[in-house]
Formats: sequence, C-alpha cells, structure tokens
Amino acid sequence: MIEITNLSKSYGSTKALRDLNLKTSSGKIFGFLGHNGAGKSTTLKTLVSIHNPTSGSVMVDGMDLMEHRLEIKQKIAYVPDTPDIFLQLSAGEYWSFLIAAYQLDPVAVQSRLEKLTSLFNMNFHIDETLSSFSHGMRQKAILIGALMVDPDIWILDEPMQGLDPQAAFDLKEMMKSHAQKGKTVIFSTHNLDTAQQLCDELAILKKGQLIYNGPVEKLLAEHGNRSLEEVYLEMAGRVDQPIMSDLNGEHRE
Amino acid sequence: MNKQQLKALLSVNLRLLNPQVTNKYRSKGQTGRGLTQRIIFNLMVTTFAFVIVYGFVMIPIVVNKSAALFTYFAGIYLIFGISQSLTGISNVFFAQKDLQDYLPLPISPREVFASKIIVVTMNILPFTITLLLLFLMTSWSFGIFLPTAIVMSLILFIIITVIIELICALIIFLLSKTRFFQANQSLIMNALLMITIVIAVVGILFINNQMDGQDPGQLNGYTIGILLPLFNLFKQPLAVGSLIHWAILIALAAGLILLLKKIVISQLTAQLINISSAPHNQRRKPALKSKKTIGRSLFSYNLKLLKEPNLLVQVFSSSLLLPVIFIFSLSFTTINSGLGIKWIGVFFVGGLLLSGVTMNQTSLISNLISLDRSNFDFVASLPLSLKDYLKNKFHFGLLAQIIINSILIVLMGFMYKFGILMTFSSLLGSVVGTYLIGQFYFSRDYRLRTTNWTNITELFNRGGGNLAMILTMVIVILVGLIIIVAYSMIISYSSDPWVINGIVGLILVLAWGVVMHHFNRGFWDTLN
Repeated sequence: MIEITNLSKSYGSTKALRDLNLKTSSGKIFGFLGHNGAGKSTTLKTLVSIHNPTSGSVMVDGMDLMEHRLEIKQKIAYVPDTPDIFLQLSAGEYWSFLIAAYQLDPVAVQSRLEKLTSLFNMNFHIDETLSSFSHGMRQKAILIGALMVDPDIWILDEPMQGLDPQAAFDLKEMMKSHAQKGKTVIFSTHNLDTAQQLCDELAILKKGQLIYNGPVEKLLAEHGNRSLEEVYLEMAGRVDQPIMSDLNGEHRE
Repeated sequence: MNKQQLKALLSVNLRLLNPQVTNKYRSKGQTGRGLTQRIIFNLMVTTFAFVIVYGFVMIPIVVNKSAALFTYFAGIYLIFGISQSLTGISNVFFAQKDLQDYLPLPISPREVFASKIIVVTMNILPFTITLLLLFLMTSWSFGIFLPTAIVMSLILFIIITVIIELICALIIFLLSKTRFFQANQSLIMNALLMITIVIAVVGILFINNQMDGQDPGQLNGYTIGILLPLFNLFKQPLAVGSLIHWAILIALAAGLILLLKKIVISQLTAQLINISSAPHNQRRKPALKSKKTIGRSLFSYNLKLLKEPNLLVQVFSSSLLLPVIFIFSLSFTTINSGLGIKWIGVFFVGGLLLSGVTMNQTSLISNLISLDRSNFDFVASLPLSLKDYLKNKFHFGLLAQIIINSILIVLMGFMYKFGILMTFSSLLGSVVGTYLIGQFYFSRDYRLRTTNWTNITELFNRGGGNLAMILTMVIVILVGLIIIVAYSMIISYSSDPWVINGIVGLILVLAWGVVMHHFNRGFWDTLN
C-alpha cells in the first residue's frame, strides 16, 4: 500500500504539487489524470525516487520512502514518460541490466522475458540498440523490462503512448491481470477512455492540486452520468475559453 | 559491493563511454560479453599506442638520470592527468546524463560510483599511462631490479592516479552540491574545465620557459621542487626521506578515499535527486524581438549550440592542450629572438602548420553540422539555401577556430619572444591554414554527419577515433618539424632568401588554388 501525506513539490517558485493526500491499496489500478503540467509525472517521479518532495511524506508498505529507498525501489518497476533511456544499449542488454539491477536469477526470468518479447513482437529486435528504435518500439522495450521484473508495484507514466493498438490492448490486459493478482498498478494517462476502462480509482490533478479522488463510477454519477470527457474538462479544463474563438477569428482574417 | 550489479553497470558504462566504437563492434556482430571485451581491448590498444609513442620520448631519461628531465615530464603529465581526469569525470558522471536513469532502480550509489570511476580510469589511461612509463624508465635508469622496478612503479602510479582522480572527483562533487551548480550545471562544468585547461597550458608554457636556455638533460638543470621527492623515491628507494614520502602518499590516498566515502558516495542519491529536481524554467509570454537578418539569427543560433555540456571543454582541450603537450614534450626548442625579416616565410608556414595540429575531428568546425541534430533535417525543409546555411555555419566555426589558434600563437610568441612581425606572420599563416584545413573537416562532418547522437563523444569518435587523432597529430608535428627545419636551413644558408620565400609563396598560392577548387567542386557546389 502507498500512502501519500501532504506531499508538496516546488521547482523554484513554481509549485508543481500542493498538499497531495492519497492512498492506494493492493489489487487495484490507480489512474492519474490531468493536463500537461498538472503534477502527474512529478507525483510518479517522487514515488520512484527521481524527485525529492519539498514537504510531506510517502510511505510504501509501512516504510518511509526517504529512509528505505533501496528496499522500496526493489518493490517497484517504473516506466518513464519518455522512453529515451539507455539508448546506447541493445534491447537485450537493457533487459540483462535490469535483471542484474533487481538481482534476479536470469534463468528464472528467461521464460517470462521470452513470452513478453513474443507478445510485443520484439523477439527479432533483441540485438538492436534502443537508439535505432522508433518511439513505440522503445516504449515496448522499456515496458518489457518493467513487466519482466514483475515486482509488486508497477508505476507507469503514460504507458500507452506510441504503442500500436494491439500492444496497447495487451498492456491493458496485463495491467488488469497484475491487479487481479493482488498487486498494484499506478499509471498516468491523457486517454480518458483508457482511464474509464481500466481504473478502479482515479485521481484528477489540476495545477498541482488534487481535485478528485475516488472511483470513476462515483465521479460520473455525481455529474449526471455525462461522459468522462465532459466531466473531466469541466473540472480540469481551461476557464478562459474565449482564447480559442479569438484564435479562430484571427485565422479567418 | 554487489558484484552482479557492478559488472552490469560496468558493461553499461563501457558502452556509453564511446557509442561510436560500440556501434562499430555491434555492426560486426559483437554482443553481450564479447562486445564488452572488444571495447576493453580497444581501450588497451590506444593505451599501448601511447606507450610506444612516449617510450621513445623518454629514452633521454634513461640515458641522463636527470632530475630536471624527470620533474619536467612529471609536471607536464600530472597537469595533463588532472585535466583529463576532470574531463573524464565530467563526461562519464555528468555528460552521459544517465545518472538519473539509475534513480528508480534498486542499485546503491556505491556501485554506480565505483563503476563510473573505474570507467573514467580506463578512459584516461592512455593519457595517464605516461606517468607509469616515466616511473618505470626512471627506476630502470637507476638499476633497480626489473621486477622490483615494475612493482614499485605500478604502486606509485596507482597511488598518484587515485590521488588525482579523487581530488578531481571531490572538487566536482562538492561543487555539484551547490544550488548554483544545480541550476547552471553545464556552465560551471565548462568554466571549471576551461580554467583547468588554461592553467595547464600556462603551466606547461611556464615550465618550458623556465627551462629556456638550459639543457634539460643536465643533472643540475631546472627542477620542479615539489616533484623532486618522486624522483628520489627511485634514486634512493630505501632512504628515510623516501620511506616518509611513501607513507605521506599512501596516507593522502587513504584519506581521500575516506573523505570521498563520507561526503560524496553516502550522499550521492540525495544529491542526484536534488539535481533532477532543479527548478524548471519560469513561465513567460513569448515575445518577438526586433527583426533580425537571417545571418544574425543563424549566428546567434550557432552560438547557442555551444551550450552543449562538454563541447567547449573538449574543443579547447583538443585544440589547445593536446597540441601544447605534444609540441612541448616532443621537442625542446629555443628560438633566437631578434630574427631578421627574411624569416617571415618560415613563421608564416609555422603558423599554417600549427593550425594543422590544433584542428582535428574534435574541433568545433569539425562538428558544427552534426551539432544541429534533427534541426539539420528540419532546416532542409525550410525555404533557405542549404549552401548559404552551411556557409554561415562554416564562417562561424572558422571564426571560433581562428580565435583559438590566435590565442595559442600569441602565447607562444610571448613566451618565445617571437617579436611582433614574426607573431603577426604566424597569425596570418594560421588564418590561411585554418581556412583550408577547416574546409576539410567541415565537409567531413557533412559526409559523416550524425544527427541522432546522445553524447557529444559520439561525434568526436567518428572515423578513426582517439587513436587516429593522436597519430595524425604526431605525424603532422613530425612532418611539420621536418618542413620547418628544412626551410630554416635553406633560409640560413641561402645567399638570396627572398627567392626561396618567393618560391614557397608560389607553392602556397598554388596549393590554395588546388584546395579551394577541390572543395568548391566536391562540396560547396554539390549542396544545392
């Protein structure tokens, strides 16, 4: 279980997160929604020790993140928002590196890795460098690494980005199956259909503040069962709509 | 220390160190452990080439047993080692930008630091191995039993390398803890390394100047006092003074290791997180400034390309430091000041040849097109003439290289008292040389252009890599010395030196015409 208490994060004078309070429980898929810059990635990066909180605390399975980083990292597999990491390694070398980093037995992981590479159609690209891959293929390689390691918690920052429909479908199935095994999936997305389809629980962020936390069904019920897009834009969308009409007017001139 | 993680980190860092070489071996079918072994083998070959080159340079030490010569070389190589360590640490720890990638993984900072410092050591070995060679030659010259000499030199070399690297690491990591560094990382790294390079160049020129008029082979020649104890370790290995100096060196190395553990490694994760959490740019409204000409816009764009971390450092170190070290360690030169005007041609050719030494594949002009990255392809889609765009780029790189060469020539002119006329002649020669050689390296960059690089060293290693660069430099220096010596002798003994100068001038004009025709037809005219 992950418990976030009064989490704030500032970049200089810019407040990226303001007093975030959240709890995620095992066996659930937890989704973050929000515009660009709302604080989704900042929250996820704080959970995986890339960022330090300015204030507040994060507890994972009863352990304080600031004091037990290594133990907590061992429980988490992370997929970053951009898959541009370790570009000079081949896909195979990247996966071997992760096996060593998580101190896994290569023989024990082998069959899972084979299944994943086959599922994502990557078995003919093992010796190619990540730099030579398209965005989608890099995303698949990074995803395979995270799914292969298979710890209790998956933290996936916009994991569907760049994936072909088949791969996106397969990933969603794997996320569901991971949660069904009593483990945790936390992910961020801009795709409202995906969020509606997958999430047991949703957190909507706006300018670093949590504006909703709870099940999707509850959110929709509270808003007269309109579509998630309408509800989301009403809650998190731009207030100054006239800009759009101004811009269109300018184009017509 | 977790061996499984350390080995994995080492193989990752070796691949990141020189992606071009890595890719070359990959294309030959090397993967996994075989690939790692090939990369290590490649580093060893470069190291061996340096051993061969410097082995010959150090023969006088064996012959003369000279403290002056020992401290002279030790001084130069220590400065070189410090400069290379700073560059290496900055490259491997910061420029590769992979440290943050390890943050979400369950790897302790101890393993990350160890793997990186080992790779730094391997990477700078071709440059620091000269110290080992110096120790070995000196101990051998004093008749120490060979196996003992090898062990003794090796231990001293390891201790000195540890001291140099750890001092450099401490400086960089202590600096990196400051908020100012976190907000201006590349600026500070560049400034720090530029300062080191300037200190190195000035230091080497100073050492050389101190030896002016003295025969460094003499036992009583000028010695650098602080380095004399190192010489005495070999001269009187069992003397009390030497034993005390051994103890001091070991204590210093041990102290630095402890200090590093306490203030760097234990706080590395927190420090990296702080760096990755550094403030983002503040929001501001887009403002279109006053209308700029395309030329001015491109000039300021090219100027911004120089902000690439490590670029300026590499450019200056390879254009200034390497040539200075090679020139001064391969030759002891004294120039008779007050030379007559008939020598003006020799200095012109000297300036021209110097630009051949200072320009190589790591120069700015040799990488300026590839620095564009994907912008280059985008620019090709704009309604701009590619030829004009590249001409603008070429002139920018030319200007930068002329400034670097001019600084070097003015420094040399000052140290060796060339006189204003001869310095000016050298400057002119260097401008001509820079223009001609620049054409070669610029068109080479276009031909080998790489726009999807992730680390600047990928660009520097196109073609033959470090080894080719050093070999070219050595060949240009040797051929250049032969030309200068021959030209000088002809001028000295000729009854009419102006005829000789005239002939040389004619050859140069012809050469200019041939080179320009070649590049105009083979490169510039093909662009549109």
